[in-house]
Amino acid sequence: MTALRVQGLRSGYGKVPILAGVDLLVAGGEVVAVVGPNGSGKSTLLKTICGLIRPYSGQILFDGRDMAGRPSYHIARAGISYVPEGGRLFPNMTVRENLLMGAFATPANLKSGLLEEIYTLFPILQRRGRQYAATLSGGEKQMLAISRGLVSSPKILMLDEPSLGIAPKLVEEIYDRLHALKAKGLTVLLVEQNTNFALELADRAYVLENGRIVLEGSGQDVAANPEIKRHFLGL
Amino acid sequence: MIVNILQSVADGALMGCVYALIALGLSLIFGVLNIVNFAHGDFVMLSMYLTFWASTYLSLDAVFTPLITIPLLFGLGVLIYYSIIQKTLRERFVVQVAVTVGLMTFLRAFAQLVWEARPRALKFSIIQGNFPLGPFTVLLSRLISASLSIVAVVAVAMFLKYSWLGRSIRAASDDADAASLMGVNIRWTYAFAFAMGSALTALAGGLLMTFQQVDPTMGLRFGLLSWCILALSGLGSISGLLISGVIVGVAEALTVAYWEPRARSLIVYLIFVVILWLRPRGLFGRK
Repeated sequence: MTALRVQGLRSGYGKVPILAGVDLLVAGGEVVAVVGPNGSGKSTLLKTICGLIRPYSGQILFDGRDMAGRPSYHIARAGISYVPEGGRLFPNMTVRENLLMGAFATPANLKSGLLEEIYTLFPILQRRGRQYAATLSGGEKQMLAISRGLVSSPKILMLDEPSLGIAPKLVEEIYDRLHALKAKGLTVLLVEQNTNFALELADRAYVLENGRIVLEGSGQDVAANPEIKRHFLGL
Repeated sequence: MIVNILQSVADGALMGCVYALIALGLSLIFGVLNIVNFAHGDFVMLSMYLTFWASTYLSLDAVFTPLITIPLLFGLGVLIYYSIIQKTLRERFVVQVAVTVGLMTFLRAFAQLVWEARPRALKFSIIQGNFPLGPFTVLLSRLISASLSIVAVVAVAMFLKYSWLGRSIRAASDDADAASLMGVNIRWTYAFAFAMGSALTALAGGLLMTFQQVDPTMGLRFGLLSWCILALSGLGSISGLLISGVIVGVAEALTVAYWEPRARSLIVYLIFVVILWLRPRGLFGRK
């Protein structure tokens, strides 16, 4: 079953175009990675899907409904959860309060023990519960951001550069948890510079260059493609 | 001499609690919408006139008029947010200033038209009167006003800290985009915060009318007072706001008693400037 289908998506910042017609598909239970060089439009793609940027044209079909141009709170309530680059936590709120905000639109989730599940995934968050989010380390912030995105039990989780600016050891830990979430059947759309980790996790991958999809295939195929290796991945 | 000074300090401190309540409304609007509302003091002035009106024509005691004026000011806040404020949020700072200064001038002109320029005061309130306490005299109206103000400030703090809606208001204040990603309707939340900030002036206005008069130019003074208190306290600390209100109230009272009543705005302005100069984020504020 198709969870998300993006068709002919064109978008950008004000009058500066970034995406020049992107087609993309994420099936239910699938992990899809979008890789590509800096400035290729990876973040713009996710920001447009979640409604932070209005598209110029194109369709964003989610559960059969077109989400293009709808306000972001509306898209979030429909079940698309976006974890922004750098986390974008609420710095003057505690770790626990950040998690509670994650369930703003789905308060029933808090009674169903979802919070405890998340604490099993990232035990550090429970210990840091009363601390202000601003006081966390880079890795802990990212764990909290991902957890906050999960508390709404979204139909699709979109991750924007989850490894950016984080110590290598913690990147491993975060990806280890993402593998666990994948095993549980979570649908993920992931954007990464750190292609090794992303392609290893992904079922399928797209390569984005100058706002266009230039290659698509299974994670392994894309990782093995000699052109890709040379041009984008710097391997 | 000592007794007189302490009496002034106590009177000023009680007054300062009401000031803190006014400043809390401003703090909510500034902290959440990030808009500098120059008209806030004129909301207080308007509330005082509405209290006068409700008290005179509906024979309602001033202490109870907030039951009417709070919903009125809340509604007015919603109206003003959607008709004026929302359009300025994405504009440059000067545009926001021009709009709220315009609103301030409008409210003052409106009050002059409807209630004329002469001061109005209520002849009676059930909480008027005083009682001796040792060598001091306690004004009942001020004591009750200060207590109700503290209760209101604490209630708002609890609402922001522990309620669902309050949490989303704080989230919107921290990062509006991130809050919208959690499913928070930002426009609606802004409207609520603006209306709530305005509604708090209704309570303050009602309390003030139990012991003082109102005239159409008063708004500027309350605006200055609340900006000074907010600068002194910084954003995000409720107890800081109360303490700052008391500091300003006491400074004002001592100036009136021992120097010159006409200099009280001067002193408030002086505190404002000095604190912005020495410690721009206030004594108790977050970064």
